[in-house]
Amino acid sequence: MRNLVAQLLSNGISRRDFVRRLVAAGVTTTAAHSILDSVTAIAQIPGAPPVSPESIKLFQGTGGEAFAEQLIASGVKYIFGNSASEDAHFYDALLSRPQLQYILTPHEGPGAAMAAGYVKASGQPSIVMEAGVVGLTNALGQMFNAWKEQTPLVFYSYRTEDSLASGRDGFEELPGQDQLAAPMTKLTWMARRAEMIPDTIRRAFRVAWTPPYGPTYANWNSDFSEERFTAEIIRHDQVDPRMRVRPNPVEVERAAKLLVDARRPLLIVGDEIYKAKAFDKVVRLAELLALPVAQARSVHTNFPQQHPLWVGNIPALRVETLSYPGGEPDLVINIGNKLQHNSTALTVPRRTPFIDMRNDSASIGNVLTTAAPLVADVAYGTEDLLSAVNDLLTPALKARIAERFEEVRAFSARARQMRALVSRNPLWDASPLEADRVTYEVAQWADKDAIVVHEAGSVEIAHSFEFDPRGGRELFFYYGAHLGSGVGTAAGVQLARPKQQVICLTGDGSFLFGPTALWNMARLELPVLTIVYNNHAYSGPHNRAIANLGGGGRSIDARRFVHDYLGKPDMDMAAMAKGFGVDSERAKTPAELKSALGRARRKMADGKPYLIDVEVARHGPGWADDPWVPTRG
Amino acid sequence: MLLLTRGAAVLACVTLWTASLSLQAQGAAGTSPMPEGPGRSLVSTQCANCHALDVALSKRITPGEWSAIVKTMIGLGAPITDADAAIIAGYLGQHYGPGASAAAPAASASANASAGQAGQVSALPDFPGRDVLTKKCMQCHQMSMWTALRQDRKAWDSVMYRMVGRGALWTEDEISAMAGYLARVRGPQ
Repeated sequence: MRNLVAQLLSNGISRRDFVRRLVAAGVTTTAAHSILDSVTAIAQIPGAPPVSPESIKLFQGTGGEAFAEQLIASGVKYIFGNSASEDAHFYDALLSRPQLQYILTPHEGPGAAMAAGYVKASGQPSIVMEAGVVGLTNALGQMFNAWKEQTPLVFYSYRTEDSLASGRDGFEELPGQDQLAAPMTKLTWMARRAEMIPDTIRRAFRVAWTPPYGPTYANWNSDFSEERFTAEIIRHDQVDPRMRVRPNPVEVERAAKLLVDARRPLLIVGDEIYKAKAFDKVVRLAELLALPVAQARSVHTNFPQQHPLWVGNIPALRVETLSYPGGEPDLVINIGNKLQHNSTALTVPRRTPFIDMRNDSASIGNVLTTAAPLVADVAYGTEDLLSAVNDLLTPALKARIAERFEEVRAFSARARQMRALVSRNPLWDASPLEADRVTYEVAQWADKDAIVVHEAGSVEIAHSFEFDPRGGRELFFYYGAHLGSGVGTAAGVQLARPKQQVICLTGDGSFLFGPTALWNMARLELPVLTIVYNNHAYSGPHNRAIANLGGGGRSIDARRFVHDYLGKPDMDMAAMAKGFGVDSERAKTPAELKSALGRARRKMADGKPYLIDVEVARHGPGWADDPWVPTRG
Repeated sequence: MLLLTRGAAVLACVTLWTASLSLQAQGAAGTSPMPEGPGRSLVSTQCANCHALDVALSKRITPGEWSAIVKTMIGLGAPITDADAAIIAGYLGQHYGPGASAAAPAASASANASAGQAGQVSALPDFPGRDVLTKKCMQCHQMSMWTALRQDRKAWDSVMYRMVGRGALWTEDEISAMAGYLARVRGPQ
């Protein structure tokens, strides 16, 4: 027995094997478990830091129960899953653990989007569960989104390839299942023994929630869920490295000098500001230096858009395309934006000095050269930069900065007036509606602190919605671009923020990829308003294909496009919504839309979701009125 | 969004690129003078920055193929903005398209611009509004976004205001100038 204890304490054998061998040696099962518990408890005492009984505990039970226990210890409240018979022991464990609420989602894609929406809006952990390979593959699209958006979402599915029947091309068996998830997770990890389940889950949450955030994937053999064992359950705060990094002070000094010397600096903001809740600090830095503020593609709006220093989104991912007071910037500082590059063109030209502050050190310097790299939690980094800049400011510099502030303020005010010109469109009152008219009406109707989940293809909404992440309207944009996320995300956001109005803007194309979360809205009484911009087409691919053909080609000459028209017959999204239990209606004119919004408000006040399917005009060659449809050969 | 990889085009222009590098500077004996027109100076400066023009200008390919070549050159490191790329591709497409002579007459640059070529018009006729259009529209995208369209003034006005909706900061005067220009050169046939 001494040898067995030694092997156990040195991790040479598993707890299960420890019990098995004791039983084989003639000890009863109950006694063997008792010995195991006492040995493990003793093992924790020497040299261990004092911990409360709640923070680390030994748990004995099935794999499914241990999974549930560790989720509770990791801070999980909501589980988003689709049914999997192999997880029966876990489902069974939930009945005696009301702290965990299981949300059944009828498709893993929108289910994962709902989980991601909840995580992003609440800042709380959550997990997506799906059946083996068959469910996992449905969730991969949203795993990709979480990867691109750096959302700390944990995925789990069981696997069958390690069972006794593996290698026989069995049901749901896929050799190398974890390779499906590996390229788009921070960690893909398999529990190799049943008692590693809590450790595996704990690790998945720890890695996902250590900056820079990102999804993780945990998995184990389906047989493990029913095995009984004893294992440690450890609360998340006991393993969380709480990594918040301050920047290199030398680089802070360098950056501060560059900033005070610049005549035409530009500040680009990004999602790390939202995640660090560093809005006020960034606003203070912008005001201290009179930095015009712009944003490149992001999930959230990370600076108050009513602020006089806000100059707008960068239209084509390059600072040269930004209308800017005083000409091209002579210095660009980025705080927390990934700066996605979709071509070889650079967001910031090589000739312009560039300061890059992000916690994602792996991508700093990947594309753009940096005059001052600031690897940091952006809240700490901005704090340090504020202090360093303050030390350098002289009365003369302050006077110059004050002058710049007025220039930017004037530009910003003029830009707001220009954006408002959108309503001068001669088709403003037309039917089908202009997409911009739809956005305008929804913006007029929305609450002052409404949350907008935007998956409406190429619809731009900045002309009518001004966001302020400090308590005004908030944006959740479909950055990752795996379509079908909008409705699910909106449901998750509403779950996280029940006191705020949530509006989902979606195109008909993206809506069709993921409408099933409407059923979750109905079942959970999540009063989301869904607006479908329905032009019965994929307008983005239509326009981009024409551009890629160089404005010519057989498709354009013949006015025949095979890839973008979804009409004949037109799809009725309002009828679909009713099928999921969501009240809805169609709107074909501005007056009908206004009236529908009134009905939506009343419905939502009763805690019910609502959908408006708005008929939107198509523009461009070959499809405005009577598009050609390929005939069956 | 720019799509840079189309196998055949890439292969063709890599071949073109490497062949061009081995040639002497622009203006070698036997080279026909380049026709006048928008984009001529850009081609002379930007393209000839890195390679001679002889082989390039011996090609007779469609505007779309020229556009792909220019994109590939950007991919290979040419410091050309999207706006300039559109102008360069437009110039090359017009003067060095299928069936073009070695030296297209200078006068044809603007005269032919609005005259057809079934949506492949790439040059910009010199009417009022051209400069503001070049400056504003090509800030973000290529001419091919609109050269496939023919519509009346109201529809062009509507396009301009939709661009405002997409973030363009334009005055009403600028909008009017651009819509007027487009209605003139891309009006209903």
